[in-house]
Amino acid sequence: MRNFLRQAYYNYRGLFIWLPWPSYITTVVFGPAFTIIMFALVGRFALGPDVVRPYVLGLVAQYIPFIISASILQCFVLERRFAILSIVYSSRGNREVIFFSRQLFHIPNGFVVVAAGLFFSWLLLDLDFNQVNWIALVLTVLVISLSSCACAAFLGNFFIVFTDWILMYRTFAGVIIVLTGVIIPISSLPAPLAVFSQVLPLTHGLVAFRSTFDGAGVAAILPSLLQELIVGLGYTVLGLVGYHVSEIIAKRRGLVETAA
Amino acid sequence: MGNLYALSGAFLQQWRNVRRTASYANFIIAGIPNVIILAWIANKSDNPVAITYIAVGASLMLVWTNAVFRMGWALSDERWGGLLDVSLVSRTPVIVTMLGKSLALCIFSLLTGAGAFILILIVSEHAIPIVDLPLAIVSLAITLFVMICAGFIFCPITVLVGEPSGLFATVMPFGVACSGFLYPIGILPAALQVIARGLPTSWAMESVIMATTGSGSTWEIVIRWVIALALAVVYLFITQLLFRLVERRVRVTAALTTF
Repeated sequence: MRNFLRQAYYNYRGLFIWLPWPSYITTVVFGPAFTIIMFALVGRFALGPDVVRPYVLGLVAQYIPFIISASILQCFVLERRFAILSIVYSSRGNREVIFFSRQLFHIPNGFVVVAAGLFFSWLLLDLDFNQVNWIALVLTVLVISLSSCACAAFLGNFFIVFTDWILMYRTFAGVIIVLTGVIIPISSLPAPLAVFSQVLPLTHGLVAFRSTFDGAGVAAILPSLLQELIVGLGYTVLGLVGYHVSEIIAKRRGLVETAA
Repeated sequence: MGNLYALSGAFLQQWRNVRRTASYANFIIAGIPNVIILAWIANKSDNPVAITYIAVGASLMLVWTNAVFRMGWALSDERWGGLLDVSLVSRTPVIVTMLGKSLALCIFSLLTGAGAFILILIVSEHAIPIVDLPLAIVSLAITLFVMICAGFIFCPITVLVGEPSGLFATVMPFGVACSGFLYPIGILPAALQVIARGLPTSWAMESVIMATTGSGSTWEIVIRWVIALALAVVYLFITQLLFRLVERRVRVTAALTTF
């Protein structure tokens, strides 16, 4: 356990390039806030005030996979770019421990970005918190964060193919915001895309996230949370397999220390 | 004349570079989801003014986000590429070289903006009737010009604040949210309205909408042009001061090609 925590800490400190406070504040606090304001006001102006609340809640929740995927993907890619991967691969360390340690300290970022988003939504958009079930909300954020971590770690395995983490992140972020019901309802999507949305992180969690603001308790949102967890579990299995496969490919093709 | 020569040279260099840059795909990929969402909102809306805002504003939003990010890092790129010392040794002020590069970046960004405009018109299934075409064209040109001026200021700022990674994650949505590209400034929260009025883009964008929808007289449009251009001049003046500060700092710290 100590080894796991130590690895998680050093990986987070060394490779999460948004960790210095000016970068952290701009990416985790103010950036999301302005994006939420922008889409909420477009919705209010074009479609009326009724859409503001679902839009705001959707946008706040979608920042969980946004931030977590960005931070985990950069850690995976930078590990190779900074030539640390050769040390990892030459070690006899448990690969499962290494894989999960890449995710641990990114989970709290999901809570920070939700707190910041909700604060600015309350301050500038008059978001109402009267009916919120806080326990259910915290649980929902945790579950979405876990599934987002699993999905991001799965995508991180593609570092041996895509050396540009920003491109990977933006593609993933674009899929999430369009296909998970953040603004465009899933019922409005073409059938194949609606099916695909069911295996994306956030889709099921978002239903629970919005319900907690209507006062829904843990029991009421449990089915959605379980679906979200199952999606996360699927990405975990795929991610672990992918981690082993990527190691084999990287060693065979000599991609370990290649500068990205 | 020499400065003009340097300006055109910097423009050409950046233009050739940006065409080759594979990372430009980043911006197209980053812009597509937002444009799809805005197009969907426009499709569901029965407010013609809102649809006009979204069609025009989404294009300008993409131009802004592409241009400001690249302009913001342009001076840092010089430093990282080991070219800043050459720029400082030459008799051309750094601001002239960087302006040439910024112009190239902005003009290239127009391509994505035009693509977004066409996509929104197709998806929203609405046409945009333009009430006063000449005024709309001039307003759009002024908007693009002041956008360059507003974005150019981040060129020296990025270096002066220590080039923090992720800086533009705030600057890009801030500029879109407060410039009134997608909605009237009047619906912003009061605190942000004050900030928005200090941006030349907000005044210029209002003139575009007034000319397009016919919601303002020629006099009202011209007033907005004047305010936008005056603010842009202020931004350029401040930018020039900041460039001098950068030059002084890099000469003192000798941080020309290293961190």
